Amino acid sequence: MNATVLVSMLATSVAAASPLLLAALGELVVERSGVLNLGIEGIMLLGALTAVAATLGSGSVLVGIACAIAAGMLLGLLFAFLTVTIRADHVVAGLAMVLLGDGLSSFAGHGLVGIDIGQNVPPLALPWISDIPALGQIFFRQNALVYFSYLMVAVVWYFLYRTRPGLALRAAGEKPSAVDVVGWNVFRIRYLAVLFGAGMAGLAGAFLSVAYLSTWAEGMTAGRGWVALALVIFAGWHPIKLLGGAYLFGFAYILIAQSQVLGGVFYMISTYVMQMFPYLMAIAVLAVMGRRAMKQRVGAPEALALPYVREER
Amino acid sequence: MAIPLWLRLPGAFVLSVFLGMAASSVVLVAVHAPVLETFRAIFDGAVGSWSALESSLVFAEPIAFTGLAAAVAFRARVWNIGGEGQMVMGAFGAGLIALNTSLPAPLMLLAVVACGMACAAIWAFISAALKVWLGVNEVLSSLMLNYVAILWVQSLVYGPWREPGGGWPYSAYFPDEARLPTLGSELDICVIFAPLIALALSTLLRFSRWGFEITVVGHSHEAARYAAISVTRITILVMLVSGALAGIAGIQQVSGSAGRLYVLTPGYGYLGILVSWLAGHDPLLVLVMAVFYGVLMQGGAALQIAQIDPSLVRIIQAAIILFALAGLTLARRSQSRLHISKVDRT
Repeated sequence: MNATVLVSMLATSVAAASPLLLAALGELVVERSGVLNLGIEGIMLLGALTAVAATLGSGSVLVGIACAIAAGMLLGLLFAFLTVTIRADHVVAGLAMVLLGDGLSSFAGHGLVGIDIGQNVPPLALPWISDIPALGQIFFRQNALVYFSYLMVAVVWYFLYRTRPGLALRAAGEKPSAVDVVGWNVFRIRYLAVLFGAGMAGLAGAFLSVAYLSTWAEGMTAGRGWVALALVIFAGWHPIKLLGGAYLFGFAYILIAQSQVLGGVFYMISTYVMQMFPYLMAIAVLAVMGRRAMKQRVGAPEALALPYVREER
Repeated sequence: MAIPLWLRLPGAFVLSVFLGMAASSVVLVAVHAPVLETFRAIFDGAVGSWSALESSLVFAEPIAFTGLAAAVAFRARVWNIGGEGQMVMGAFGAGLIALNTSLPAPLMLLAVVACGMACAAIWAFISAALKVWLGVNEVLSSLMLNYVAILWVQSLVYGPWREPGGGWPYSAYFPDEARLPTLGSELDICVIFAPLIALALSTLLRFSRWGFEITVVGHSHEAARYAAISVTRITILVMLVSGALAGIAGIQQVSGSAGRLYVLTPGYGYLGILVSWLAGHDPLLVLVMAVFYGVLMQGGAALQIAQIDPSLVRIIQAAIILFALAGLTLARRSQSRLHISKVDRT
């Protein structure tokens, strides 16, 4: 494998990683607020379909993406109502979201399977920095949504660690009663966090359908929503570490897609076995992280997946 | 309030189902689907006749086992989301014996069932071991292993185990000795075993020491430690049992009417979780809810026959589940408030 091939593989890895990164960043904020949304996969599917349908309807990819975010947030609103207001079990509500997103998208997407939307989000070489050898090619000749994902890593980091609302959000995930005592509204924080996370998952779905493939296929997220969930843990709930994790997985996906082309040792391994790789990698990574977490006590937000009840404060 | 306690949960469930049907009717109207015809087709096709009911039970069989699997684990608050993968490994284990050995009649079936359950239990054990010794969240590890299990069976039925000369991803047919005895046209012997196993589990959970220990671990790890109950031991035990039960669903799928290994229809593992939750993790109620869900699934198949878009039923299913989730959460809370205030907090 020569350098040019490697650089182009890394560039496609960054693109493949972006939907993971977007969805996982959203989920990270959700989990930091104390809510566990297992429904990412379903929200991504609905986002992917909505993006295709709205793009075909309006003729504009931008409208398609906006609608996908809105559709994601709509499911998010339902999820927040169930988990924050009604205080339903987060795990079960999340699984119900997967069923709902999967059901809605396969039902409404019947007539759209395989239709090419005829456009996508075009790659955009950033001036100056795209000319940096290797790095420019890998990171700065991507589409606008990829740049948005870079931006969001910084935004989420700054919000969580350098602003007061960010502090309140983190506190809502650790000790909601304390947040309540100082006058912040735990319910509002969690609602907003879930809406943000669901919007990001919708966007991640749109990335897959209109920016990555330009078409809709039933179940096209193929487990990426679940991988995004694992990434959040892998990253120890930290946005910067998430960036590295997402690219590692993006590279794994590209390695699988290219395994037949690369030949050599990759050709020997069955494609099915190759496809197990991201999942096994996720487990291995969780095992390594788990040991470290047990030693250093950096773990999940203390109040993750626990409903907050005011009168029990 | 005037509603007697014992009526609250079933009442809330029935009410939720009706609200879910009402809400999905709104969706059906919005997409210009025939509302009455849709519900009638579901009803006629799923419960309207003996043969319809039998078809519903065929769908209910695997869900009953994955539901029981989830119930056992969730009672100890071990979040085994891997029922799907454990089911698939159960099917693999059945195929491993059925396709590669030749044993006399009664032994063969026993070996098939034993190997299927063992493979599924081992698959669940991986998640348990990762949890207790490496601190890996079992939700994620069991979930990832679902995908690995499915890919593993795919690699077999598309590869070395594919029926010689066959064009489809199926293995060769199992020998007759490795098939489950059937009842009627499609049902197999599992329809009798499911209630027996549920009854046994229900008794064990309520009256045995293990059942008590599982309950304690489910309520509080701290309390378990004070009572000298090993959380590690219970976690592993519960996962082994849960995996083996999910494995039966897989064995039933391949050794039952299909009679060969294939890439199992996805979803039964996840449905088991929902069904178990709806049933409050009570093994006997799991059966009831499994039949209820089987009716919904057979309803979808019936729509296809009635030439109505079968994916409509997925909207109806999702609406009913969401309403039931909300309704039962509220009903259980009002009940536990009266019984034992504040105890049932996580």
